[in-house]
Amino acid sequence: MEVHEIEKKLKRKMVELLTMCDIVKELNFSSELDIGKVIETFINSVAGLFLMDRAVFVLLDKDNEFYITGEDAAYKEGISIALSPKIVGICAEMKEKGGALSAEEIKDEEIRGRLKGLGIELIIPMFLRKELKALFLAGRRVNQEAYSEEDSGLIFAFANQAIVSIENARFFKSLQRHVEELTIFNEITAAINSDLDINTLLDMVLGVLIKMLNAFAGFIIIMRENRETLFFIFHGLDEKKIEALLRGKDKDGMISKSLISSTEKLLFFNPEDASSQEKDLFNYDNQARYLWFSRSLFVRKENMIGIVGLCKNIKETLSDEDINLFLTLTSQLITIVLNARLYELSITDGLTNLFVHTYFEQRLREELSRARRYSSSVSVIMMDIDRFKELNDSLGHQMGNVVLKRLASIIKFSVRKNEDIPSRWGGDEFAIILPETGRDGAFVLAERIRRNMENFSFSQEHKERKVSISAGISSFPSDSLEEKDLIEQADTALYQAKKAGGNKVVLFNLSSMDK
Amino acid sequence: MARITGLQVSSRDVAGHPGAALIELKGDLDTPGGQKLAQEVFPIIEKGSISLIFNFCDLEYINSIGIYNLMRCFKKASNKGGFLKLVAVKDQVREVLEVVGLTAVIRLYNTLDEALADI
Repeated sequence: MEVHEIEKKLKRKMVELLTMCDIVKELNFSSELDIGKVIETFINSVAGLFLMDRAVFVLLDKDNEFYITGEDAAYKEGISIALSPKIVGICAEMKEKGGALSAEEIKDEEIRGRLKGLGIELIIPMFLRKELKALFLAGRRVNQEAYSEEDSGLIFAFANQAIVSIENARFFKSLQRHVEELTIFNEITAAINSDLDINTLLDMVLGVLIKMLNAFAGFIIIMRENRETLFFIFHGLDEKKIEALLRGKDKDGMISKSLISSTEKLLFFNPEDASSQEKDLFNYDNQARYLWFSRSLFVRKENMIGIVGLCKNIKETLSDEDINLFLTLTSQLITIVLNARLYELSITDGLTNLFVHTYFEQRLREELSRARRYSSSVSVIMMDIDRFKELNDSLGHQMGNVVLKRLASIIKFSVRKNEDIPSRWGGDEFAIILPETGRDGAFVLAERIRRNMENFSFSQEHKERKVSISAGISSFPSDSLEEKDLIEQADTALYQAKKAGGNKVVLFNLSSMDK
Repeated sequence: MARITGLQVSSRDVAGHPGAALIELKGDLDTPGGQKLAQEVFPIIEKGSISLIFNFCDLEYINSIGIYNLMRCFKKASNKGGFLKLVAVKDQVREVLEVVGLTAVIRLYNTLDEALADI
């Protein structure tokens, strides 16, 4: 061989070696764990080194992911048609001998013709642990040179280096994901055990779901079977719009369909399934398309229904891992709610469903603290049923309970949901905390309750019976600055209402306080 | 002169030659450089400058991804009826282009005048 030829060969080898180094560096030392980018780097390097007009990389998993040099969608379609199971079968047979397969060597005329039409000259199967993992298809060379055996051998070496790196990257990514999930589960479990404020917990779970699944908006609704909303958390959505949607009982939309769904399952909706209100809420536009999935939770023992909805860009794929994470995290929601229900039971009076005395006191402390901080007002109403003992004695405890429950439901109906704190103080006494409310506001509310109770009648032993209530009110900061004093003063005002004959609401007045 | 890291790309029209653009490259046509090349040059081709002259006098290094992206530019211009020429290619870069066989496809010139004379 002439010196010139030897020199040329050596230079070529040098360039090949440098390319190999580049590829190894990119595949193994890059912080990039995006498999797609790794593969792209690989095929672009090899395509550059061999001046390939086209290069195609096919990952043989359930989706048969294609990576092709260039942006040609028609070509991609052509390749996917050409890559029949026959080709994969032929390649799988090469497991023992390895190496590359020339398109010319393919016996099947149809496949051979297709591949040649697509400009493919070489097929390199990539094995890992004797399993066919991927295919590399080398296109025609731009300088019209044919692939020598040495060239095929080198491409084969590059490809098999690549598949090892790709598998490692996949494994590492999967491991990273599992670690992330475990960390999240630990955090949520710790939160469940330490902080029983449901809204905070649900907010946290929703935040995690959105972040982990790369969604841009989502919500959690948990309601009783009678559609009374217990909890409602949302991220990335317009509050007014979503409340309007729920209030309007939008029947056509995905949310309604999720609620009707009778099983716990993952539901996928396309934008076309959304009602016009929902489209407005989720800001669908013509460019991006949003995939939506929801799951109905049924906490049958507690008669609750819930849906978890996430909005994601439809261009982004949802992997099996993503779906599993979604299902696992949402099932955790059930645990959270159940646990919270236990807590709720401990703070709720069994007969009236209002809060218990101890919870009232705890909440009053909190509300006063907040009122002091923000210079706002808090009012306390103490009320009880006039001549309840006589009623109980004459009509029996059962009737007494009916009356108690009736008053409790009137109170519940009258107060502001999730803001005011109505409680059963004990026996026939009830107490209500009204945050951000002064004496006048409290008076209006108490009067409303009194009137509604006045209108309540029941028949017993063919006689129509009526019941009335009395109430006393005191406020922070106008009447008192301390919790203990507020309760005492409201009680005092209540006593005055009783003294005046009952069926009355009295505001605490320092000057008329009995000593 | 301090060595430029990364790739700098600048372009201008060639006076007296409509549809021709002179593209100056400085630095390394490596992996990130290669991607940058395509990002900068494709819009130029799309705007109508399909006769491309690349001035390689300040290009120090090229790797396979750089070659791949250079090929992409060549293909894009050729498909639109244009061409791609290289001018003042440094020895170490020329060697690589010769070894991979790109010089059989893309012509190299010593000076810009020579390249323009050949249009």
